[in-house]
Amino acid sequence: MQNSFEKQVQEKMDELQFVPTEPVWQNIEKQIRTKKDRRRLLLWLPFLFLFLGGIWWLSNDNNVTKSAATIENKNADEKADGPQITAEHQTTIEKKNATVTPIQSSGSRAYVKTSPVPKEINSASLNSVSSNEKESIGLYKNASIPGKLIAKTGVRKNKSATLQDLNKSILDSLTKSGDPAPLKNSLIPDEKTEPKDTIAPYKVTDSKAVDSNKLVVAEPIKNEERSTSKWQLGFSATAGFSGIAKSFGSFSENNLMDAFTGGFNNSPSPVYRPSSVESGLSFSAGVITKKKLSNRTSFSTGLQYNYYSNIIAVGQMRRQDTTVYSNASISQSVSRFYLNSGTDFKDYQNRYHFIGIPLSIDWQVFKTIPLTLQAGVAVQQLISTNALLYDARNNLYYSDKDAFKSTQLFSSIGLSYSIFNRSGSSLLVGPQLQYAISNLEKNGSGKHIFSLGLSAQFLFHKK
Amino acid sequence: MDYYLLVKDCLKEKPAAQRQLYEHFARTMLSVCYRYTKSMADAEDVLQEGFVKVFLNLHQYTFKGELGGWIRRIMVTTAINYLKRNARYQSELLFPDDHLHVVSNDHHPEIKLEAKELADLIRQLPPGYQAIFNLYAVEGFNHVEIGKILGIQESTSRSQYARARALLIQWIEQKNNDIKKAVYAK
Repeated sequence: MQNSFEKQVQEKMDELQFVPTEPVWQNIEKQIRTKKDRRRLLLWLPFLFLFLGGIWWLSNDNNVTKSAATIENKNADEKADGPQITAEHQTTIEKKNATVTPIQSSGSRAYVKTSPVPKEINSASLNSVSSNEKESIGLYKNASIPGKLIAKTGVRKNKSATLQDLNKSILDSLTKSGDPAPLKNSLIPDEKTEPKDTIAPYKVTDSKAVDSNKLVVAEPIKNEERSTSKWQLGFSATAGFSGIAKSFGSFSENNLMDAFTGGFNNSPSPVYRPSSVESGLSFSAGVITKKKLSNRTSFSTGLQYNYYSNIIAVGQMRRQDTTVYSNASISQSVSRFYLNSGTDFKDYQNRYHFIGIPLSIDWQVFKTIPLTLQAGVAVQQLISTNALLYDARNNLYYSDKDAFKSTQLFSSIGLSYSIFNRSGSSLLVGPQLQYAISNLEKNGSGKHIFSLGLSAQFLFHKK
Repeated sequence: MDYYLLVKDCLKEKPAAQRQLYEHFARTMLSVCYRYTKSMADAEDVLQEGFVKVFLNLHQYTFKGELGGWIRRIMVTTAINYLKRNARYQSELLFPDDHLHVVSNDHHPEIKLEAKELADLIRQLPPGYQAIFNLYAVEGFNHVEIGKILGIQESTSRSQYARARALLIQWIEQKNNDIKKAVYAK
């Protein structure tokens, strides 16, 4: 290939040396530090999202408890001229067969509001009710009419009745019957006739914590709170392309880097270069479950099958026992391999089948726009692969599943937009980038799987 | 020098080891960068960029080949990428697809020039010739590989190299004659 002229040129060029100026090293040092810090930050970003999401969720949880306690203390100091109580229907006071609705006794997250009421009620009726029954008694606060309380009954006739009116009718009924039962019935909602769409259920705190002279009134539990306690189920799917990244942020880098491990020296000896790696199809499908942590944050997990692929060019296949080298010291025998020489090159698709558990934190970026930023990690187990490995020493490709790390940790980041959100279901669609934090191969070749695609999530809302 | 320990220490991000690795290879690598560029400032830019790549990708070096060869490859790739993206050098990488018959010329003079003089002659080659000459004659790539690296046809690389070689031989002969004349004059 080369004659003595080229050899002379090479020899002369090998003699050539220049001393670089000092700022070169200073700049190199500076850039290494900056880029390594940036890489580390990018690798830790999904974990950071998860961590911050967790902290935010916990702090939000504490705030709810604190605010409930604050409201309780504040209202305990209020004077007797408290809010007006509106009886939705007085006729139920006389109802003898009103059913008792079981009311959940809450833990720390109950929204409790105590309101002072005239002593007549306390002395005449409440004290006669057992402590268990007190727990079950409650008045509903109408969210649309601040400061007003509504006795929850089946039919609404007199919305403007005040607490005094209610007291009067209760006392009247007591006088007539001499039995505290009507009072109890009047204060306990009638489930059969309750218009559920207008009145929300509520929780009552432990009766011991409430002043016995004060009527315990619970705020309705917000719909948001109810939804946070439920897990949504659904399906997820992703389709796109995948490839092999040599290092973080170098997805499109020239695959010349592959050749660097090919035993190059300064002499003009033949240099073996592996094939360039082209992107291939990738997809995933699985079930997910999502739990809303707050108005704009949710956590999702599930079980997913993932398929990644990439394409390389290989020469003819040979069936012949030969020794291959996965690195300088480890060799093994294979009976089949593909040449990386000759002219008859064909595309070969390296396929990787994984099953994994994704963990993700979703954050709705804007209050009014249903655009969600998703960040998370996924632990994936390699089920099978037909991927080929390159033996630089023999310039051939061979197959060895054991050379791949079976458990891989992936990080993912994506955006999703809710294209429809109805009462029964919702569909979210958006781009998603996945990057394997773990090395693909056990020998630490620095290869990482990445995929970029369009993701869709179909979620069912529980009613 | 024990490259194995040096690389391991560099991977542990020990500044002294990184500096030592740089000091050991910087002079040779700067000469590589010098051959592909037109000024020392550009050569230092390439060197800097190349060494940043070396340190960030050192975990990929698996001790299969010589460390110097591995670093050199990175420098060459970095230099080519530098030429491709730098406006001043883009004309250097314009290769007309003319497939003229290449006449093999085995006649060549003995190179009596100093290394730097020869390098400067290579750097004076017309646009397009310099990179191909360096890749083929000095780095040892074949024309198929050069075609892939530069995104040109193999035949283009072959014809461009033949012209570069002929031109360089002509210049070397002139220089040799000048040297002879100077000797006789003395």
